[in-house]
Amino acid sequence: MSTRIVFVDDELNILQAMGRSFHSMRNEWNMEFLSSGAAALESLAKAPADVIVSDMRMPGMDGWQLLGEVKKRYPQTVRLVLSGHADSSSVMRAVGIAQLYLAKPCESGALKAAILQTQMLRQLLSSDQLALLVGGVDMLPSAPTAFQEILQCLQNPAASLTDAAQIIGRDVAMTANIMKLVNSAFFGSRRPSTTIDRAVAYLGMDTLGALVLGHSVFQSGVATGIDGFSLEELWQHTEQTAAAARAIALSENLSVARADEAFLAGVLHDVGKVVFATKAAALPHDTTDVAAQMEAHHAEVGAYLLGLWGFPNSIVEAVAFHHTPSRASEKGLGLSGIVHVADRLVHLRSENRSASIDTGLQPGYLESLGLEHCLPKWSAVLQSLDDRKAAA
Amino acid sequence: MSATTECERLEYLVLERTRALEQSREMYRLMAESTKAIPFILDITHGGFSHIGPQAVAAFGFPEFQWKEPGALDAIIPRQSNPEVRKRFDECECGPFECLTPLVHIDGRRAEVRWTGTCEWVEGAKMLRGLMLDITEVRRRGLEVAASQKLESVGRLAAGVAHEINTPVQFVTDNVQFVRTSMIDIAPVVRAYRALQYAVQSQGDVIDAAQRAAEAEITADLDYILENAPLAIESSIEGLDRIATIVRSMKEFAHPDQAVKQPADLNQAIRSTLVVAHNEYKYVAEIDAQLGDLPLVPCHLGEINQVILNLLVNGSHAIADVVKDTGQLGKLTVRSGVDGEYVEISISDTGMGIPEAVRAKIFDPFFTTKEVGKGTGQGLAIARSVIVNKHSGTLRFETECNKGTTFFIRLPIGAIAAAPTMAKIAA
Repeated sequence: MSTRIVFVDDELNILQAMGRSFHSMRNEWNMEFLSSGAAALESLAKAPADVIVSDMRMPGMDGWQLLGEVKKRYPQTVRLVLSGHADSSSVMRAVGIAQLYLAKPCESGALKAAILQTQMLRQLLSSDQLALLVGGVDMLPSAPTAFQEILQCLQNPAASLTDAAQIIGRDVAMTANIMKLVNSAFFGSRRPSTTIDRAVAYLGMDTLGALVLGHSVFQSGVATGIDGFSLEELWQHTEQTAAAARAIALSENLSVARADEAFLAGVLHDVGKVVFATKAAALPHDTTDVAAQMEAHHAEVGAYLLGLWGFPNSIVEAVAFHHTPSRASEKGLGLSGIVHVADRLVHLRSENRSASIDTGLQPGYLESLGLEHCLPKWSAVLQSLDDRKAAA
Repeated sequence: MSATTECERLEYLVLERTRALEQSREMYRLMAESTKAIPFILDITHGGFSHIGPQAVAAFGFPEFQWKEPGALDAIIPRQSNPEVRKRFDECECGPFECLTPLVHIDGRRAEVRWTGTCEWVEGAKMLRGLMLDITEVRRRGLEVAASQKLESVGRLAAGVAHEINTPVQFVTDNVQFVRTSMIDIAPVVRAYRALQYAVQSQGDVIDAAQRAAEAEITADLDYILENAPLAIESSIEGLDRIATIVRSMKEFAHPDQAVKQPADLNQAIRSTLVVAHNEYKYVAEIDAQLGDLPLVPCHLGEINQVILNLLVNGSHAIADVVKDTGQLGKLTVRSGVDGEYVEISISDTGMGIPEAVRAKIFDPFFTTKEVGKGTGQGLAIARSVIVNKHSGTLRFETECNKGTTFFIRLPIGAIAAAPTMAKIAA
């Protein structure tokens, strides 16, 4: 079945040129080129699309209104923005309504790669329902305490970017939102940023303040009543997992950059749970056990979301396979392996169980790498993290 | 009452009056000497100051006796480098005197000084009495404000122009990419037809060769290429043309200003400013340009461009407030023409008009009705200063509620009666 893609731009020259440069894709893609938001909605009503690529500023219905409408009516349609506008307010608006923001001029190869990527990511999801669930998500709500903390930090003249980065790094949603924004083409970073510090430094205190206070990107969220789940607990767990992942990476003599990446993957590994917690209402009514659904599918949902948001592949994989690291493409103890081990060990410690009994680790995974003997060493690494924390 | 007591009373009275007089004198001295305005009495006939406030010593470095020497005026305003200015002093007539002059510090630095006073004949000498004030700092700050306003509008324009250029760059790139792959795709078709030609010439298997050529055509989608390649080139040329126009207009708009006014084509200035500002108004207004024949007008073109830009941006903001997100377009009308000794340029918008309450204030510096961050309130103040002070023209507006506003710029065509600018005096 071919992928249906709708392109919207008020400049006819752009549409025609895109048509020509994607002509070679005609067998795989079913493309339609439309010059207004109204025409696009009309066309979608006849046949929903897999992907929509829209300009932002157009007369009449602009890209923001169009994509907002598409998000509401067809959440599973992937929304890409291709805009020549470079002012930050229009980009922040766009980032809140689309999964990916590409800046004009954008080489057709890059746009093609982005579209193909969305279709590849789609295969991560085991059902259409999950696509619906995650499709409507463009920004994630933060834990209320985290939101309070960042507010206080920004209002405190003595606070530094490092303080802000630390608070953001503890909250799954803030981290995801910030990285999405920084990685959007607007900020000119062609290579996705993989550390929170760098992303925060890139934005600077003023932009960060605008993001938080303007509520355009950061919001405080309420968890919908899923049994035995709270955003606060998730917050605690991801904080510990991230720190553990970094410590394990360093204990394996990996580079600091790699360890930072492990930290980021650790922060984000349960991002799919945030999606479930806040969008549970969007699940079909017959899904009685949301908690079980969440447990079973949060990895793929989180990975799909981050992939659409333009996160680097290594992070997407680590999130997707943090329960099943053997499926990752990376050889050896990759990012997914590190996050997997960190996640399990943190769970064991919080449940006060020793690593000798059921670890919850993917059976045979460490053995296949010949690393099963490392478990006690890593436990000790986590222990020393705890000790240092207690001492502080 | 005895004579003695009467005498004592009078003595006491004299003492008291003297003290009162001294107090009053002291008060006036303090007042005169505690401001930056320096009181002076200048004997124009002899060129020395018979009185000079003590501030002058600190301000310009010359000791008091040098001010009082005959010919002191020559030291601070040398006749050979400033003949025009010295003429104002040398030939000044009785009555009020106002003048702006450069003044050389003892260390050679240049200051700008405002003189205000009265000229009178006193005992056969022409005396100028009044205050002089060093306005160098004030003038510099004014220039800084103008520069920051210019920077602000350049910054805003840069974002707009980037967008205007990004669009053609996007489609030119896509089109050229298409032509490149098309050339690659066409090669096998050409080879197949060459094989066919060879088959015909060498009486080979013509049917088979023709069959292959037909297949090659289908594989390459030749019909699509033949139809679209010329269109892609056409569209690319249009795009490059657009980019060239924008770049040319940008260059014209950012015309570096010279100290002396240069004759300029104001219609061309309007056209390039319209191109440069396109992104500012294109989503809210159509342009109706009615440009009449104009003679060349001596002016500082860069500053006039800035004024036209300011008025266009203000007009499109006014229209934006009316059309909002409806997708409807208002209208910006730009007219130019000759009216007697003047060239008149008018810019009309179809906005809400200027409310009665603020009409008197719109030219005031820092007055703005725009939200924070959208305007500094300097635009119209500077526009007026450019048109009125620098070009001896006029800037006025007509406005009607719910109908819109028109601004009229009038610039004299003839040789401009030079308002004394520092640059000119110093030159």
